[in-house]
This record gives sequence, structure tokens and C-alpha cells, in this order.
Amino acid sequence: MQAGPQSPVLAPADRTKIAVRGLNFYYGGVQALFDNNLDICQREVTALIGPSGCGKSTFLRTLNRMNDEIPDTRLTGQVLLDGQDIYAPMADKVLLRRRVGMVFQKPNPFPKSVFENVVYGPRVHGENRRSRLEEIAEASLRRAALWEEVKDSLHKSAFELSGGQQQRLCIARVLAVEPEVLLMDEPCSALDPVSTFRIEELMRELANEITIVIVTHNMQQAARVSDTTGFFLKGELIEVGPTEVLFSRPRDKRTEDYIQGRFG
Amino acid sequence: MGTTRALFDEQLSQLRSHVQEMGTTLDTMLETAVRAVTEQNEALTSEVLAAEDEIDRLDALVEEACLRLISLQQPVASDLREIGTAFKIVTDLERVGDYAVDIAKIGRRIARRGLLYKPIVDLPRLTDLVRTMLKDAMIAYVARDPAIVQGIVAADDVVDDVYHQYRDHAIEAMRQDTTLVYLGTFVVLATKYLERAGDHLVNVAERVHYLITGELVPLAKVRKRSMTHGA
Repeated sequence: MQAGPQSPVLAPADRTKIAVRGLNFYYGGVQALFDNNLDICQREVTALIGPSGCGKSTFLRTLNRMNDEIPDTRLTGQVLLDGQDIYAPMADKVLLRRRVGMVFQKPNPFPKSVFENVVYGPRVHGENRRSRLEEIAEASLRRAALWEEVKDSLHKSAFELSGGQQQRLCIARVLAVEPEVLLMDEPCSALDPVSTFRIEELMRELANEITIVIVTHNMQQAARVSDTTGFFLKGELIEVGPTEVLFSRPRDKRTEDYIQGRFG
Repeated sequence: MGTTRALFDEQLSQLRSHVQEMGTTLDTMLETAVRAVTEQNEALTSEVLAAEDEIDRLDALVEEACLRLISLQQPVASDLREIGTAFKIVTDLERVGDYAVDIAKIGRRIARRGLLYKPIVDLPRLTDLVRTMLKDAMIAYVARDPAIVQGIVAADDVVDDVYHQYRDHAIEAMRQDTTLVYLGTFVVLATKYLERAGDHLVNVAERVHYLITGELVPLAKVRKRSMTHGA
């Protein structure tokens, strides 16, 4: 079950949503990830921390094949979603990205109305009934804790919302296609503290239903919102464990140095 | 790996120094308090009372520093344990200071009543046992030495045994010579205060164990349980 730094704690199989096995990733000739192994538990928040350039965002993007869009990259190893390898030759990338949604560092609403942003995904997937789209929009905006603030201005441009509202709109847009996993790449780094706390509360609420993986530079955020934390360094997953344990008594000296800000 | 938090490290180091200073002051207080009894010396009582002010000052200083570091530096892992440990152990150390004051006041009471101290029990010996626990607690705290921590827990068993022995002996002495009742009662109280000071030092040892391992373990209870099972 448990071994050295390269084989971090693996969750019991019945709770695993995503299992990463022997993952290596290369940008051209440069290896960015080295033999990563990780079990991501369902309906939990998993935080990935580490210094800039350590590979945590690259790792996150392997979980819904976003790196496929970057030329001259290569991956070996396996990423199993509910036991199925998402990199298998016959794997459906469109379906994968519906099941594994992503929210980025900066809010990136489409130049459309609030309503059209939220129903964009369902429309792409063939839903055209107006009443159904309205239901989806309201449900998604409620789940993203934005409904009360925008219910009277659904047809205003998304760009008229504040940064924090735009980010929650992006979350609502992902939720509209009912993903099973939500990947978040530093979702609060462009937000003020109040908006940040709203997104964090939202993460905790959503984790009752879906699996969340968040990359963050903010260690207090990782400590506040996640159940499990993984520490990356130079493409290696150095340590993974319950957040409470990792932040109170990490096993690895490198983890301790990093979370204590003693990285020189 | 070099540190990038030189200022924070300096502040942690200051915190340790203040705690150590409390330990040094307490050691002198215990020694002086018992001499105030055995020498019926009011001036020594006054010295202990003055030192208590210093203990209170250091206690407040450490508490303030801990809260400031927590709020401004967001410490985690061993840094947080270090601060949490300092925050907790100064309360136990302050209590040891209170017992030293109680003992010193016994010296004043005996002096004012015009009584001559008689060595019904070996009060300085019991004091030395407790002072050794205190010194070891400070060494364990700074050196983060688990072996010394265990030694403190074992030493408290000796203090408890000596206390029981002295108490019974003093009661017997009072029974045989009723003129000793007043002095004897206060001597028993002084031994009890020393025994309680030992208990607080075990609390300190348990906190140092937490500092080292990250685990809160009632070491004294665990030791008693293991000795009962082993018997």
C-alpha cells in the first residue's frame, strides 16, 4: 500500500476516482513529470502544491488530456478514470472533458451573456430545448453560488460581472455538463480575499457530489479546502497524505521545508 | 537547504530564549524558596516574590510572541508545534513558579511565628529532584531529545515516592511529638507543592514529546499502564 517517495499512499480501490500510474510527461526532449503515482479519491478535494515549474499544473492537465493540445509533448504511464485508461487508443476525448471539467487561473467567460455562458456546454452536447436550458442554467448557477446575484441579469454580458463572479460563472459553466471531476488550476489567484473564500466554500460544497483536484500556490488555501494534499518538486510527487497530517507532521524533509517557506 | 526565513527563525530563537530564561529563573526560585523555609529567612521569601514578577513578565512575553507569530507568519508543521509548545509550557512553568512562591511564604510564616525549622524530612533533597526535572525539561526542549523526555517522566515517579515517604514520616513525627504539629503541617504542604511542581514538569515533558514527534501522548499514564502490565 505504501512505499517510498515515488510510490505515495494509494487509496483503497473502491474510493478511487482517478488512479495515476507510472506517469511520465515530456515537453519535447525535456521530461517534466517523473513516475508519478497517485490515487485521487472520489468526492474529496485533492490539492497539489509545489514551487513554480514543479510540474503540478502539467500533472493536472494530464487528468483530462489538456496537454494533448500542446505540440511535441509525450506521455507514458496510465491515468485511469473509474478504472478506464483515458489515454487508451479508443478513448473519447470529448466525453472525457465532459466528465472531467476544468477551471483556469483567470476567469475566461465567453463574450456572451451570463445565460449563454452557462448553457454553452449543454448546447454543444445537443440540448436545444429552451425550458431545459433554463433549468440547467438555474441549477448550475445555484450550485456555483451565483444564482442570487445574477438571476435578474441573466442576459447581461458576462464581462459586466466582477472577477469573483466571473470565476463562479466559469464554474457554473463547467457544472452545467455535470462533470464527475473538477480540475482547478489556481482558481483564486486573480481574486480578492472575499471572492477567494466564496470559491473555497463552494469547493467544499461541491465536494459532497464531485471530485475536485486543485493546483494552488496558496498553502493556506490547500490547508483550508483539501482533504488530501500532494507535494510536487521537480516533476516528482514527493509526498501525498491527509492534508491535516501533511501540514502538521510531513514525512519528508523537503515537504516540511517547502510548507514552512524554508526553500532556499 | 538554506533558509529563506531568517527573520522568522530569529523570532523563534528569541521565543526559545524566553522560555529558557523562565526555566533558569524558576530553578533559582525553587532553591531560594526552600532555603527560606529551612533558614526561616524572610528576605529570601521577598527574593522569590520578586522573581515571580519576572516569571509573569516572561509568561506574557511568550504568549504575545506566540500569537504574533501565528497571526503574522502562518507557521505550519514543526514551526507551529514549536510555537504551540512554547504557548502551552509557559503556563505549566508559571504554575511551578506559583508553588515556589507558596513554599517561600511558608518560610516567612515560620519566621514570623518565631519557630525554629527542624529537618523532619529532607526538604532540600526533594527540591533537588524537582530542580533536576526542571533542568532536564529545559535541555529536552532545546535539544529536542526524546530520551531526556522519558527520563523526566521516570524521575517524577521517584518524586512521588519520596513525597509519600516524607508525608508519612512527618505525620508519624507529629504524632509522637505534638509540638511539631504546626511546623510539620507546613513541611508536609511544602513537600506537596514540590510534588505538584513535578507533575507540571511532566506536562512540559509531554509537550516537548509533542514538539519532537507531533503526537500528543499522556506519557505519565502510558508509563504507569506499562508498569502495571509489566508487573
